[in-house]
Amino acid sequence: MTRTLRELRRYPSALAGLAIIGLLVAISVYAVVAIPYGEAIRLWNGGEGVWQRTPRNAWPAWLTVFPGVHLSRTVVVSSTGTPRREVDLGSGVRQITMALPFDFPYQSFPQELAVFWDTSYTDKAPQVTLRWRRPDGTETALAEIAVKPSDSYRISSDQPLQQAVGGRPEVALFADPRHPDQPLRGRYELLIRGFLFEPASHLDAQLVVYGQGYGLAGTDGQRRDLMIALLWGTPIALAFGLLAAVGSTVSTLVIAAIGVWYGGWVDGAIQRITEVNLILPSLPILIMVSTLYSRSIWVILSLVIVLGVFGGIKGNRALFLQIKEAPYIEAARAYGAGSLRVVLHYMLPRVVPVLVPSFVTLIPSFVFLEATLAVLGLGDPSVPTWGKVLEDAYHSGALFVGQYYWVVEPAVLLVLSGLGFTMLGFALDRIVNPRLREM
Amino acid sequence: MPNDLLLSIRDLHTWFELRRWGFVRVGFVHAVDGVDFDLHRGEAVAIVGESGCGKSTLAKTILGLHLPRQGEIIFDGKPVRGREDLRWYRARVGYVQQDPYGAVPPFMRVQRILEEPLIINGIGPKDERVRRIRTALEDVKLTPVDDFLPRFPHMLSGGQQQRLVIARAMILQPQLIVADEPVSMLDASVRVEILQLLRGLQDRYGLSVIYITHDLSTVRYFCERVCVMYGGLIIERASMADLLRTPRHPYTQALLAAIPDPDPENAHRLRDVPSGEPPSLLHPPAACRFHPRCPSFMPGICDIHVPKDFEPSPGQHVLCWLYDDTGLVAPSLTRRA
Amino acid sequence: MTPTPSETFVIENLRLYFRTHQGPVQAVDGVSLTLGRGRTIVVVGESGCGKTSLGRAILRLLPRNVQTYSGSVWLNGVDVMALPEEQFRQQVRWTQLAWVPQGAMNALNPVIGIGDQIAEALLAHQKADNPLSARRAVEEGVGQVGVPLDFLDRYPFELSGGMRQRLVLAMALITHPDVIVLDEPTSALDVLTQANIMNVLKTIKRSTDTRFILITHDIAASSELADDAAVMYAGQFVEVSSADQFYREPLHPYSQALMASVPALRGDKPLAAIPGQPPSLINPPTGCRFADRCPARFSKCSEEPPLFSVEGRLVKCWLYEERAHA
Repeated sequence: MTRTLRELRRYPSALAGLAIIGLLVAISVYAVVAIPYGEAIRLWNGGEGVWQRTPRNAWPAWLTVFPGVHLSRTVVVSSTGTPRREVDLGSGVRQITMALPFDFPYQSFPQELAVFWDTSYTDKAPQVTLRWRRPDGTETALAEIAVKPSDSYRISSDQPLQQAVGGRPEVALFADPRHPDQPLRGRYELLIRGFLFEPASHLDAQLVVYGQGYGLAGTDGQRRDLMIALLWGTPIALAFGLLAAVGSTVSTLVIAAIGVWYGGWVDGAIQRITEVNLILPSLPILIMVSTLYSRSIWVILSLVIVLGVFGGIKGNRALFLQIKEAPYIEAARAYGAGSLRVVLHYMLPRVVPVLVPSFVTLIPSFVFLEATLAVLGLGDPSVPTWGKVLEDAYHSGALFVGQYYWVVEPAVLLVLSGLGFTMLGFALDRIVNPRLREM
Repeated sequence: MPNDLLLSIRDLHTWFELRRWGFVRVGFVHAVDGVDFDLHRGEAVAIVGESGCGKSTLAKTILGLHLPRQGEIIFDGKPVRGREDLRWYRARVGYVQQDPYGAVPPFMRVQRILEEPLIINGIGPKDERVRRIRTALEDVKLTPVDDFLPRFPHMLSGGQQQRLVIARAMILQPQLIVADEPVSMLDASVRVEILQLLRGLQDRYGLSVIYITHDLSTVRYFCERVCVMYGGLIIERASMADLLRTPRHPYTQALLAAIPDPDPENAHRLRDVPSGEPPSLLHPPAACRFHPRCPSFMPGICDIHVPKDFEPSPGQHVLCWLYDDTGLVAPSLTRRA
Repeated sequence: MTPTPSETFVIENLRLYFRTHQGPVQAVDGVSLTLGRGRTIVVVGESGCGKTSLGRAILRLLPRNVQTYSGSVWLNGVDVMALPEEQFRQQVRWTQLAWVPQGAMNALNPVIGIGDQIAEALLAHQKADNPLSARRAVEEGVGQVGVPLDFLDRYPFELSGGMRQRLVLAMALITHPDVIVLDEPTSALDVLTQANIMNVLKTIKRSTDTRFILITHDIAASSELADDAAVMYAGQFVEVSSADQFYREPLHPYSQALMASVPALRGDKPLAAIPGQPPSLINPPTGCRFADRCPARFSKCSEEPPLFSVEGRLVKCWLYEERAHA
């Protein structure tokens, strides 16, 4: 074992592979520790409530390090805590005037504008007038609306406003009059005048100026931070690949050993099952099961193992048959070793080192299988995996609208994990299989 | 003395079934086709023959690795028949194989290799096992013992590996050692060592040895009696001296004539050897199995009647119609070695 | 080195070192020999002495990790070692220099009929104009080794070991080479088959001028063909002499020990083992390489002896220094 590790050092590809795997493991550990599973699921499936403040389809914000790339960030201004003027107009009616100021220093327009209300009342909803003040002093009237609790006013989707300002609000409200294709940088203010009709009602507002860039990985069409799926996809991919590889390798090994050792009809039966299994199309079966029965990731994992077990038997059987004829096995029988002892202590230790390389290269194939199923729409919808991200991207036509990051990020991770394991696996193969070895 | 007989084999037949496509029976390979054999305590007997004559199968049947189709094995007065018998029998018979490196698990250390037979046969406790292991290694002169215990087989030379195999065969303190071509894969200079070692162990512990080989030259240094095997049968049995002096069977004569000694005169003459191939064990020739190649073939006799076991001189048995119990009866056309 | 008459096959100072992770393996370390027309030399040695590498070195069949490959091989007046690889392949290998490797009988192509395989050697070296003349040449060659003609259409697995070895010999002979190197041609065969093959080789030797280099560990079998004998130890020749002299009176202590360890069927000969093991070819010891196993070792042996010429024989041993100068 130690000899193998020492030999690995001679192969740069193995070291690169190990480094990549180490990186993936580190990411997995971080993901599991920083965002516990329950939390991750909650976030991923959270919906509007969780992701309200994040922009939709935002690019990764760090891309601005590249020259010529301008991505505006999200600015959130809240009225709680800001000074307001309250004027009592009599008969329970109060007028509240608030200003929500913010600085806009970016060179590209925001993506979306929205105002979220926090209010309470019993019968009559407050009435609000909104005005927009730009850094150059110009003001625009936005709207006059009634406000409900947990309601939001989507400035960007306001059709009359669009017609009034002659274009999309998030552009028109920010455009520099001298250079209309660039936003005017400086201090903006949202002026709110609200009329409260009940003494107990209150009014607070939050303005969200959605940026074009967000976070390390950007967001998807449902405003979800893709980092969650990328981070959590790692341990899930590794775990799926590892469990599937271990499950199928161990099962294959045991069944092949039993078949070879006992021979006769046992071996014959196993061979016939193997041959039938070779003809069975596993992907269509997986599709069938997940469409008609269940898409739970555990069901899929078990099915993948079951379908994979009999596939590898022929190769292992060949190995075992070779080993069975080894003189030392004969010698063991001559000094009285029983069948079980021979299989466990004499045959398996001979086979296991030879299987390690193929085991290692098996892991990414299962990772890819899971991703394939997800892309086909058969993945577990509640679990954030790389394949799921790809599926969402595909369904949203991400490539057609230029949202490359949505596709590239999970793809890169898939390729990286495949690369890491296969490089390690090939190097191990050269160590274990003497004929491939270099002198 | 009746107690002197350690191993007695009567009419042993070991056949292998040949099947096509897994279940169509085509026939039987008559690897051992009627062998009678006696071995006394402390005696070393060689079984000599070429490849395909069945000698390895005979060895493995004696070891209990193959089940005979017919015939009896009696060891130390007790019959060896089924599974239960094999349990005590296997502990009394040691096996030394041809390939020293293949005979030991390459992933086990020397200590474990030697401990396995002890564990399997319930020898204990640990101290007792360690003691036996050390004794075995000293017996085969793999010393200092502590130097060798932690090694893996690939860290040993060919000769050392074979010593390890012998140590393992000795570790259960057997009464019989079956050595199947124990030196043919070793270098010439190492062969001598191993043969001398086996001889020494035989003398010290009063072991009986069955030595299977195709190299008659080595037999001289080791065994008192020789059995020559051909086509699944033992066709001649004699003491080594008698065999060399008066080989009876034409095959034996051919064998002796074919073996070279290091002699420069060899390059100047052709050897007189029978042509043809060893017989198929699936469809052996009728009656005498050597008749298709025999220079002394007598048509009408050798191909019709199965030769009987004759004793032309005391202690020398031969399966050949050229002889009867008084000596040579038919003119032999073969030359002596 | 002055070129010798073109009749003689000469190897001069052949060296073949392999590069490995543990260091260079000095498999063939300065081997020289001379072989006249129609003569056979046997190279005798145990495992690990480098004799198979010697065969490879002569045939220039080198693996990838060669570190040093030097020396001269004079054949028909030409130093074939100096030829470029492609020219060597076309003109020398298998046409002038042929090889029967160890275990060749198990290395036959299982999916091609045996007649076609033998013909392949002819066709590859353009020694035959068309398949028909190739076939005729094959039949002739196969008759030379004593195989019936109807075997030509069979596949290797249908034939016995002895038959296959004869056919491999036919393959080597088919282009009528000047030199054939045989590596353990009979080790895996039974006694009777071995004698048969040796008979075939003896017949060919008598009827052609072919030179044979027979590499083997079996001293007894080597005496069947030898006109000259060379003993190889740790990559070097330690003794070279004519067969008559060698088998009757070996000079080098290793040759003597080797002879003493070979059991004889006839006569009463005590056997003696050689203590110790041959040295590793990686970093071989300085001085005489047999010194630490030699019963006649003395102080001078810490220096490597040259090959002394003693009465027409070559011995690499300080014990013969005086006899050489006498």
